[in-house]
Amino acid sequence: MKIVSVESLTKCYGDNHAVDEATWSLSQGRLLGFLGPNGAGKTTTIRILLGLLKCDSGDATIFGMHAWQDSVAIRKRLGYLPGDVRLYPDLNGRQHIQFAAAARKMPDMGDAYRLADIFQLDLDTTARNCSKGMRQKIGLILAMLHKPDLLILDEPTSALDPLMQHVLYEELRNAAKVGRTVLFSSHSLAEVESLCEDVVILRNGKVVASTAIETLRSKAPQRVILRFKEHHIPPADELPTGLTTIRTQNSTLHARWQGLPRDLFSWLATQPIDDAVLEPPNLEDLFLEFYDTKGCESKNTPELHTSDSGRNAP
Amino acid sequence: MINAAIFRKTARDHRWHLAIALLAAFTFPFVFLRALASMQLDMVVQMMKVPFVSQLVSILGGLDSGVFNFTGFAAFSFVHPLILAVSWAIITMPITRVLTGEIENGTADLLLTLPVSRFTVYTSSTAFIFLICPLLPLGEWLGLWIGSYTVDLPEPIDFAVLLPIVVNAAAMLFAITGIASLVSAASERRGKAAGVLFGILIVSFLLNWLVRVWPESAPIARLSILRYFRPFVLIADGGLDYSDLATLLSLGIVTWIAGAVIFTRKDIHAA
Repeated sequence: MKIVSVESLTKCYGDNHAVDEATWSLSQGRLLGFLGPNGAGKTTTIRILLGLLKCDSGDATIFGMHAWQDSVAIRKRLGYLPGDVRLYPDLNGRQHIQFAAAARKMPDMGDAYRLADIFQLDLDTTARNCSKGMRQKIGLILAMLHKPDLLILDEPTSALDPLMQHVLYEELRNAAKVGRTVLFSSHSLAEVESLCEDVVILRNGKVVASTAIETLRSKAPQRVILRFKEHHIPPADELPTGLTTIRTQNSTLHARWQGLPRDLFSWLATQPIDDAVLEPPNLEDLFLEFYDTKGCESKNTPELHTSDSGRNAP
Repeated sequence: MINAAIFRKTARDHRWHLAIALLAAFTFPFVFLRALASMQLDMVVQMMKVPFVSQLVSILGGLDSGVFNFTGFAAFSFVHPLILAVSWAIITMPITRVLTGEIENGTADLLLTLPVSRFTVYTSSTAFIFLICPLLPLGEWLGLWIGSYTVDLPEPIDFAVLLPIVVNAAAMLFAITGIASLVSAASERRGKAAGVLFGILIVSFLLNWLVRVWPESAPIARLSILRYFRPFVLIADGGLDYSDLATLLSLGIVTWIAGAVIFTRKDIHAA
């Protein structure tokens, strides 16, 4: 069942396309990483989903309801953590929770005190005196206290220490296990790689990848280090298709290989090689290619949409 | 239509502002009356003949000749520039804070992602300010009334005659609340909204002044809010001016609704 569905979503500010014909979806019980550099359109997309911004064209639905028209009904089942948590300076954590619970017309404080406990948060400090990390924890509690069916978290770990990051990851994994869905916006590939099952990557407002992390990994390039005999590094036009030079140093070639290993081995067998190292698939390189704005106009810029994952995940 | 939690939060956020404003509204007429009582009535009348004073009083009071009895002088405390400024500030400050200020400070993300419609947020945030409207002039009236027992007045004040002024002042504050809601809903920055609202007060005052020195500008002067708050006219006529009242209430309602339409449709950008 699709929890979030985005179809040809577009939002412009003047001539700038903040979100440009974006299409992706998120299925129930999945943890989706929402990746992209600054200005890629992540926050704009999230704000459209929350009903804070109106899209110019396209559709955004959550739980099968229209993100703008049915935003009140959607927000009953949704929790949101903004990228930069801003709280009422005169209220403490407890008062924020009481306010949110009362505004939501909840009979009690829901999951708030359990979350405060696991996040080791002192609820009696006023927001004015809270550190960024404490504010982030209060924001997380406000997003999660009503056990929402969909959690939208915009860089939730940016102010958390590593211990608390793991507490949060565990909490999110447990939420997904019981069928709740998480949209996790982040800059950090490592974070998304370790936590999420699916990924949507945005660049310049466009979706450049919408797939499962595993699929992405299989498409990722491998780093290759080749040491040639007697400085005999072949020129670029003699390299096989799929092998891209990163740099050369004396008789050593540092390159990226995208393709089947056996094709590389076949070519290597014909070369005067002293030593060859083939590293495991490196998602970082693939992401850097996605992030590289120079590559935007290039025909070689990768785009990845698969039907077995984020786009049409089970 | 009103979310109790948001209404309570707004009230809590502004309780001290309100308390200080009410204290000022009560204290100012109290002190004003004592100062007035310390002067001879003849002296006050002579002072009213000074062109600058006479013009200022007529601009604020809405009547050229003034009402030269003691009740008329006491009524001036309702239109004293200090009281007008405090009343204006106590209305515009919280309104800009709860609408534009929430967006500017980023707390709108917390508020507007609750399962509450934007219209409910708008009504819950502005309702408390509407409640303040009758309290401020009532505080002023109470200050005069209690003050009258603490001094020897040259002639008694007719407090029943002052009650229509209280109603008219409340209607004016109602209109200002509506305008402030509209300006705040349409603005992205709190400082800009407050500036526009302060500008409206200044322009209103200048239009009232213009019509005194250049009577041909009367049609333009109708755009001034202060044009519909004329305490001396009410004293002279001995009752409410329903036309002024209807104008102020209509202005408040129409601008408030326009603000609601804008607020429910506008894009809320990240702070």
